[in-house]
Amino acid sequence: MLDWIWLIPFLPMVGAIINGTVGRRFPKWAVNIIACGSIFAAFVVSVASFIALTHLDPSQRFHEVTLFSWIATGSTSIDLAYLMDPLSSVMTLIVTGVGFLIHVYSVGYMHHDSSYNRFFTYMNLFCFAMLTLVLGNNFLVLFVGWEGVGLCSYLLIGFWFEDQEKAKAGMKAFVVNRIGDFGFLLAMFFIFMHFGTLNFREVMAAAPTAITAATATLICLLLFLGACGKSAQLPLYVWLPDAMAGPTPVSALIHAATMVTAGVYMIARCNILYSMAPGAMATVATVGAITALFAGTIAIAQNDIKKVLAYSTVSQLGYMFIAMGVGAYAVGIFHLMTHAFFKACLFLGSGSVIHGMHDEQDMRKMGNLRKYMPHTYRTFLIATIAIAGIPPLAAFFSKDEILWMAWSGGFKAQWALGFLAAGITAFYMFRLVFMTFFGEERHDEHVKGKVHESPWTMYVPLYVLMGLSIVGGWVGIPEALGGANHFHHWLAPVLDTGSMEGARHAAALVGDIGPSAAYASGGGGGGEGHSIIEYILMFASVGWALIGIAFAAFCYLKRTDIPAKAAASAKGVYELLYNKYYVDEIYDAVFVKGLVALSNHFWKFWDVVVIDGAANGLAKVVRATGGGLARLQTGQAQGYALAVAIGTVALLAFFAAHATL
Amino acid sequence: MDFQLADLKLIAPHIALLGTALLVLMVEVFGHGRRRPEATWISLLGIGIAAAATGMSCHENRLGFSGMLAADGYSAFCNMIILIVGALTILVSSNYLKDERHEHGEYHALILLSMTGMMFMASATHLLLMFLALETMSIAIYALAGFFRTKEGVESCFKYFLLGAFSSAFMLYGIALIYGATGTTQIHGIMEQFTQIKGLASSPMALSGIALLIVGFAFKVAAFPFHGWTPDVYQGAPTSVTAFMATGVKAAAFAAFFRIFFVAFPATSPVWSQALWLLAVATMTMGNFAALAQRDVKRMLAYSSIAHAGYLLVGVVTATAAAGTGMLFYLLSYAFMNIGAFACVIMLGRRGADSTNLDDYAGVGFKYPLLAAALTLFMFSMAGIPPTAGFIGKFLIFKAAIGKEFYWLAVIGVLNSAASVYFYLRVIVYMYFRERPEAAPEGLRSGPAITVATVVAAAAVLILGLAPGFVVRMAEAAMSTF
Amino acid sequence: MDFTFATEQKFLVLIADIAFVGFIVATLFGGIVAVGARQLIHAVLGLIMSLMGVAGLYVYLGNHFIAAMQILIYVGAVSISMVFAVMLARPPEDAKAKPLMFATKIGSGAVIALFAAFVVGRAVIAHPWVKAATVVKEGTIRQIGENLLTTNVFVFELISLVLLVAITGSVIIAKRGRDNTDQQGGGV
Repeated sequence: MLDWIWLIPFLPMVGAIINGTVGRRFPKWAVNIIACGSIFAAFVVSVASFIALTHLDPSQRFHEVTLFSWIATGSTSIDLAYLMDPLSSVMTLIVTGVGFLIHVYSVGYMHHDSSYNRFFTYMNLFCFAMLTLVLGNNFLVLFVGWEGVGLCSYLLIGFWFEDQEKAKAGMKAFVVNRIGDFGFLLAMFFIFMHFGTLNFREVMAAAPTAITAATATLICLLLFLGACGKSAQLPLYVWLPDAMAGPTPVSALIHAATMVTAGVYMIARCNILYSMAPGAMATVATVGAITALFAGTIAIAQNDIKKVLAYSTVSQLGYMFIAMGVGAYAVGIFHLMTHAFFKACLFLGSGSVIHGMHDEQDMRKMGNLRKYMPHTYRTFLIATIAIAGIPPLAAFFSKDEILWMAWSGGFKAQWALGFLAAGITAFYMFRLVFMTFFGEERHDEHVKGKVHESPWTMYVPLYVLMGLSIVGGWVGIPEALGGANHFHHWLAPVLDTGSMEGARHAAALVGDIGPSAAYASGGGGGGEGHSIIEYILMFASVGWALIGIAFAAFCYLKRTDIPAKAAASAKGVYELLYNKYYVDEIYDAVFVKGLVALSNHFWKFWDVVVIDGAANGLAKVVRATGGGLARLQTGQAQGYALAVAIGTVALLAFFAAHATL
Repeated sequence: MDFQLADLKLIAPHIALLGTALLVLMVEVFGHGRRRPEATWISLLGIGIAAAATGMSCHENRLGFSGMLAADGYSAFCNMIILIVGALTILVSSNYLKDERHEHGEYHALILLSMTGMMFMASATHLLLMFLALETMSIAIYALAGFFRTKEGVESCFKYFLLGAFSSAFMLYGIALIYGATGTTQIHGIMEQFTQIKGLASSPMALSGIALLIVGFAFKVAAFPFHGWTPDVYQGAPTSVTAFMATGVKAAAFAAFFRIFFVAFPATSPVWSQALWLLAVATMTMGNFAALAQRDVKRMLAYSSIAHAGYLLVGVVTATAAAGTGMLFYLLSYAFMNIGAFACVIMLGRRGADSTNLDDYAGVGFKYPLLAAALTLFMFSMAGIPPTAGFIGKFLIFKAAIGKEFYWLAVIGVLNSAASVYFYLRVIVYMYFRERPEAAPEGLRSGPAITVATVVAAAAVLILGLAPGFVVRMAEAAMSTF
Repeated sequence: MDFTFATEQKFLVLIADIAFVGFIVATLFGGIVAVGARQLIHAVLGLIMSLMGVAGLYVYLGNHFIAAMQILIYVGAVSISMVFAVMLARPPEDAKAKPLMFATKIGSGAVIALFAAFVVGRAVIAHPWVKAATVVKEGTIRQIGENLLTTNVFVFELISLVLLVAITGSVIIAKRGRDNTDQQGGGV
C-alpha cells in the first residue's frame, strides 16, 4: 500500500485538471463528483497507508517513494519524492479528511456561484499542493508545495475578483508570504551547503554532528521567518485577517485547518535542528506566546464574524508555536489536529450563518439565530466550548498540555501569556456566540423573515466536525489524567529525539533543569511530583475559561449596555483594539509608502536627475508619466554617457586601490 | 600556428548562419521588394543546420585558428541558447512584421548576422576576436532597433549606437592595456603570463585593463551604472527586437564575460570579484526598485532584465564550475521566459499602438485565457517561483554563491527576488482582477508562428522547472570542458 | 638618454620638439572642438584635427605604418563618411533639445578626464615594462602583413564580417524611399 502514497496528492490534481479543462461543459453534479470524489479517494488512500504504517515496527514506520530525480548536480541529487511516516500520515489524514468535509460543504455554499467549476479547480489544486507539502521527503518538494498553497490561497482569496478589496487582499497575502519565503529559501541554501542534501531524514540524521549550534540557530531562525509568514505570526500575521475576503469554505480549509499550519508542520519536521538551537526555540516560543495574546485581544473588539475567527486562528497558531518552542512537538501537532476540527467547524458554521443571513457578516446585525438555524447553532456552540478549553472536549487536552509543557519546561513567561490568552479566547468566542445566536434580533430590514437554515450538504459536515471536536482530543489524553496518550506515542519515532534534545537545551537556556528532565523521562506526562502542579494548573485554566464565559454571558446576555459603556469609558483602549493596534496603518506608512517612495526616488534619481540633468528633469517626469512619446533628446544620451563615464572612473579607482603603484 | 582546413569544422555553425543570412539577403534583393514570407523558413532552416553543426562540433574540444576560438561543450551550450533565441525571435516576428508592414528579409538577415556574432563571442578565446564578434553582434542590433523607423525606434537606435560605441572604446582600451601588460590577447596565454610574471596580478596596468574590460561587458549586459540606455532602447525598439536583445545579447555577453574572467584572470579574482560583487548588488537592487515604479510593461521588462543581469552577475562573481552551470541554465531559461513574455506583449498590441500600458492588460485573463495563462507562467518564472525554470536557475546560482561563501550576496539576491514578485504579480493582477474596459480593442495579433513560439516557450519553462535534470547535466558537462 | 647632437642636429631637434608640442595641441584642441562645437560640421572638423594629431604622435613613436593607417582610415575614410552623413542628414526638427548645462559639462568632463588620466598614467608609468628585443620588427608592414595572413587570419576574416554587417545595417537605416512606398502600398 505504501508504494501508492503518491496517489494521495495526485488524485486531487487529476480532479483539478479535469474540472479546470473541461469542467465548464459539465453539469454541476459531475463537477461535484469529480471534486469531492477525488479528495475522498485521497482520504481512503491516506487511511489505508495509515493502517499499513501501524502494522510496521515503530522504528520502521517510514516509507519513501521517489517519482523522479528532479535536480541532479554533481554528486547530489534532489528527488521529487514522497515520504510517509507517522507525522505526514497525521497531516494527510487531516488535510484529506477535513478537506473532504469542506468540499462537501462547498457544494451547498457555492451552489449559486457562476464560476462553480473554477472554484473546485482551485480547491483541488490547493489540496494537491498541500499534500505535496506534507508528503515531500525533502525541503525543496516541501517548498514547491509551500509556494503552491500560497498561490492557490491567493487565487481563492481573490476568487470574487470583481471586488477590488478582495483582489488587494490576495495580493497582500502573496507579498507578505514572500517575505517569509525569503527566509525559507535562505535556510534551504544553508542546509544544502552544510549537508549536501535536502532530504529530511538524511539532514536530521546528520544534524547533530554536521553543524554547530550557531549554524543551527541561523537556519532555524530563517526557517521560522518562513513559518511566521505562512502561519501568520507576529510580525507577518497581517495578511490572514484580510484573507477572509475569500469564500468562507476557503477560509475554513486554507486559513484555519491546513495551510496556515504548514509552518508548525515544518518546524515539527525539523525538530532535531530546532533542538540543537535553544535560542531559536526560545524565540519561537516567545513569538508564539505574544501572538496568542496579541491576536486574542484584537478579536475582542471585532464585529465581523469572520474577522473574529481569523484573529482567533492567529491566536491558536500562537499556541502551536509555543508548543514547538518548548520542545513539545507532538503536543503542538496534537493541537494542530484538534484546531483543524473545531476551527473548521466554526468557520463553516459562520459560513452557514452568512449564507442564512444573505451575506451579512456584521454580528451587530444578527442575534437570536438559534431560532432559525438550530443545526448551525448546535454545532457552533459545541465547537465554541471546544475552543474555550472545557473538558472533555478536544482543545482542553491539547491546549492544556501545551501550557503545562511550557510551565514544566521552565518557560514561565510564555506560560503566563498563553494562560491569559486562554481566558480571553473563551470570552471573545462566547461573545461571538451570544451576539449571533442569542439576544434580540437586530436584523436588517431586507433580511427579516428570510433568515433560513442551510441545506443538508452544509450542516452534515458541521455535525461530523462537531463530533470530531468532541472526541478528537481523546486520542491524546495525557497520562496524568489516566489516558494512554496514543497520539504522542504514534508520533514518537519522528519527534521524540528532538523533544528530549530540545527540552534539555531549552531548559539549560532558561536555567531550570529539573522539570524538563522529568518531562524527557515521562514523555509528556511529567513526573510524580509535578502531577499536583499539573492538576492545579488544569483546574486554574478551566476556571479561568469559565470566568471568561461567564463574563461574556454577563456582558452580552444580561447587561447588554455594559460593552458600549466600557468602550466609551476606556475609549483609548477600545479604539486601539478595534483598529487592531494600527498595525496595518503602520506597515502601510513605513513599508509600503516607504518602498514606493524609495523606488520612485531610485528611478527618478537615476533616470531624471543624473541622466537628464536638472534642467530637463521636469520635462522628463511629465513625459515618462504621460506615456513616453519621447522626443529625441541628446541631453539624455549625454547623461547616460556621463553615468557610464562615472562608473568607469569608479571602477578604475577601485582597481587602482588594489594595485601596488 | 597557421590556418588549417580542419579548423573550419569548428566554425561550421557560424558559417551555416552566415550563409543563410547571405541567402536571405539575396532572395530579398532578387525578389524586388515583394513580400517574402519564405525568409522566415529559410532562416529557420539555417538555424536548424547550425544546430546540427553545433551538435557535431561540440565533441571537438579544442582550440582552433591559432588559439583564437574554442569549440567545446561550453561554446556548444551557448550556441544552442543563441540558436534557440534566434529561432524563437524569428517565429515571434513573423506575424508582427507583417502586421507592422515591415516584412523584409533584411530583418532576418540582420538577426542571423547578429547571431553569428553572438556565437563567435561564446567561442572566442582571444580578446580581439571577442571584441570583433561583439561589434558584429552590436552593429546588427543597432540597425534592428531602428528597423521600424518610428521616432522612438530611430531614437533608441541612435542612443544605443552612440553609447555602445562609447563603451566599446573603453573595452578596446582595456584590451590594449592587457596586451601591454601581458604581451598577448589569447586568454590562456594571459593566464600563463599572470602565473609566470611576478607582481603582474597587482600591476596597475593589468588591473586597469580588467576594469575597462568590465565596463564593456557591463554595458552590454546592462549592469548598473552602465544601464541607462536599456529602458529607452527596449521601449523604443520593435518588441520582437527587444526580446532578441534582452535574451541573445545577454547570453552572448555573459558567455564571453564568464569564459574570459574564468580562464584568463583567476589570479586577480579577489579584486574583480569584489568589484563585480558591488556591481551585481547595485544592478539587481536598482533594476528591481526601478521596475516597481513602472506602469509600462515593456519598460518594466526592461528594468527587470537589468535585475536579471544582476542575478547573472552573481554567477560571474562566484566564478566556479557550479556557478557557470547555474549561469548557463539561467540564460537558457531566461531566453524562454523572456521571449515568451514579449510574445504575449506582441499579441496584445495593435499596429502602430503597442498597448503596453498596464491598463491595457486589464481583464485579459478572461478574454484570452490561454494567453493570460502563458503570460502568468512567464511572470512566475521571472519572479522565481517554483516549479518554473526561473526558480531552478536562481536556485543553482545562489547555491553556487553560498557554496563559495558569498553569503551576503546570496541573501541580497534572494531578498531582491522576493521583492521583485510585486511588479511581476501586478501584471497578473491586472489581467485577472480588473474589468476589461469597454473600449478595449478586439482580437489578438496572433498567428501560427507566434503561437508555436509561445507554446514552446511555455512548455520549456515548465519542463525546465519540473525536470531540469537533463539540462543541468548538459550544462555541467559543458562546464567540465574548460 | 645621453645622446649628443651636433649643432645643426640640435636645430632639427628643436623643430622636432616644436612639432611634437604642435601635435599634442592639435590632438587636445581638436578634441575640445569636437565635443564642444555647436555646429555638427565643426565638430567633425575638430575630430579630424585631433586624429591628425594622434597620427603625428604615432610618427614620434617610430611607427610610420600605423601613422599612415591612422590618416588613411580615420582621417580619410571615417571622417569623410561623417562629413557626408552630416551633409545628407535632415536637420532635426526640434533642435531645441537642451544639452547638459555648460558648467556641468565642463566640470564633470574635466574631473573625469583628469582622474582617468591620473589613474591610467600612473598605471602605465608604474608598469614594469620589459623592453622588447626587436622593437623595429614589431610594427613593420611586412610583419603586420604576415601576421594578418597567418596567425591572425581569422581576425582578418571576421573584420570583413563586421563590415558586411555595418553595410547591411546602414543600408537598412538609410533606405527611406522603399519603406515609404511600402507603407503607402499597405494602406496606412
